[in-house]
Amino acid sequence: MKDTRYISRAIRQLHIPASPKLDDRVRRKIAEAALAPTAPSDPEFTPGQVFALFMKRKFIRYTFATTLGLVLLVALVLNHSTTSAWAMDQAIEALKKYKAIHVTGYVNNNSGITPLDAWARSDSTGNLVATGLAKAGNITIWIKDNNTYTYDHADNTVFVEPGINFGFDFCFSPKLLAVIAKMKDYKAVEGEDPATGQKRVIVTCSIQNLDGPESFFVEFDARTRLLVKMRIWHNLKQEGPPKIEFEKIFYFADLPDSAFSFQPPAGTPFTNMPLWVPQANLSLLSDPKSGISTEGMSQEQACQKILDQLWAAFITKDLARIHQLFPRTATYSDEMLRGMDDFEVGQVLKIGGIERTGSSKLGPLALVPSWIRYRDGAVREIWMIVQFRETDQGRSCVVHGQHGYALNVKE
Amino acid sequence: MLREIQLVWRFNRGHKDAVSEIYEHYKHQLVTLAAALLVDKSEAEDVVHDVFVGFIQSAGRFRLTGSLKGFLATCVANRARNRNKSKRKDIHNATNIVEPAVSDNEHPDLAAMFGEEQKQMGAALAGLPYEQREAVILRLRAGMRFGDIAQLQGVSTNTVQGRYRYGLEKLKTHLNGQISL
Repeated sequence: MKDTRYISRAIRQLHIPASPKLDDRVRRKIAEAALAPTAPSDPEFTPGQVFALFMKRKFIRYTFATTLGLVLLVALVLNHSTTSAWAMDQAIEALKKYKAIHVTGYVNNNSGITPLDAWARSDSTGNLVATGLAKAGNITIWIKDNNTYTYDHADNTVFVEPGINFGFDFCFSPKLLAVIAKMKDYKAVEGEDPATGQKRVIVTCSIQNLDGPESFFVEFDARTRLLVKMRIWHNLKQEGPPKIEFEKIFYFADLPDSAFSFQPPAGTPFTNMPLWVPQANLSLLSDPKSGISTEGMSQEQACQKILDQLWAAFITKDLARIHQLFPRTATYSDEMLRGMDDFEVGQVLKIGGIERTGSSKLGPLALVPSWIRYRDGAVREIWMIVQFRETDQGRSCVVHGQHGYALNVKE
Repeated sequence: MLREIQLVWRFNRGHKDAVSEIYEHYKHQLVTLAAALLVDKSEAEDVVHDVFVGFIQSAGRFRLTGSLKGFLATCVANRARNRNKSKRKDIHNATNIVEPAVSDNEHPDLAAMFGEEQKQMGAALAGLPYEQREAVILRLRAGMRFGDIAQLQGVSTNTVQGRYRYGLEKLKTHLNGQISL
């Protein structure tokens, strides 16, 4: 008796090979074809660069950026030393010789897998991006004068946003490596690549992050101690295709500014990038118990007040108050919160005015810069998004979080 | 999947070896799919040939939104469907003039095409109405979702699921020798 399972299997196993005649016909067509490369953005590439496509829209870029950023944010607190012979310190030392990287890889998002190609140069600390250029089919992102520019080829428009929102800031930095080494299930295995005979060190680790679980596969060249490959999954067990894959990483002592320059077509209009927040964060932002009342205040005043209170809470390490003003940290344990860079805040030098506005389903959004002196003496400019909302308790606001990355500035 | 992206990227930049690699990688799967749909290997190969000719012509502007395999399978299914329509039309015109055409399950080429082991399955497939055969093959052989098949057939997902279910039942009946199709 042949059942449905038998039939399904039999159909899946059907095999009818292509004949040599078909091979000849198709191969002839391929040989005759004039496959002219007409990819639209190719002429704008810097010679020698092999730029590919990546993050099609800003929400994809956001995912990418937050993935890397949050990895750092949370992982810092997980103190766990490795007993492996492989010492991450050596990799960190090796990395310090280089100021610039070129990365190719892929981002796996809801619309499929998209190749990624980017160039970045770090600042003097080696942990923050000072400038960078990333190109994709419809999107090119570059950094200039501490602003981030996004050229959308489809819209033929350049969107400008203040600060550095490039997504590579913590990637491959000494800081990231230190973070990886501290993840709780960190494992390092030394082996040999049978294809090349090169010795490799494979590091695996995972973390329960703010936006969900993540696991990592990181490959180091055992000789140079440099990170050469990296894969990130949005689950703890490296299941399924990775969310992000950095397939090739090239290191440079430095690169000229021209490597990061991009010129949109003449006449391309420049416009402000709309300020927005991901829909997934709205439920945490809507909690009526969080934030401060804004009754009787202007938006400027409310931003000043809530950021002033948030920085004060970081300085005094008032964890409950941080959770209350900055509700996206609700999923953070106290230990995780203490690992945030913001706990190193020493003094608030200035809170600026609203530089950019936008809106979400909850209400208006405001982008506000703060200038902060850290305990190590460094002064940084940090952009924060404040969400205004109207609940049963009246008008109020909460801090959504940091926009882009901190910039080292001179006083 | 990552390899597919790389191949498409190179294909769009004029690398012929990328098309060759794509063809070599998928040719047997696509011929099998087309042959199962059309129950005619010669026509199946014509379909696969035409699909690749069309694919080659899209160089430079081809955008992959899902898997390459899925894209090529959909192209094969569309072309097979068009061929089946015109074949039906031809048979209909011919039967008005001369004599009834040979039914699918009496197709003389079945053993040569499917092999002795799979001949029975080939005959059973040949006996299904095209829409049912298409639903079963695209679901089981090409791994397409019912929603995608529905879009291709221009009907609702429920209709496709019905066609799939009826198709499987008929195959089961045929293969168990209960009723001759």
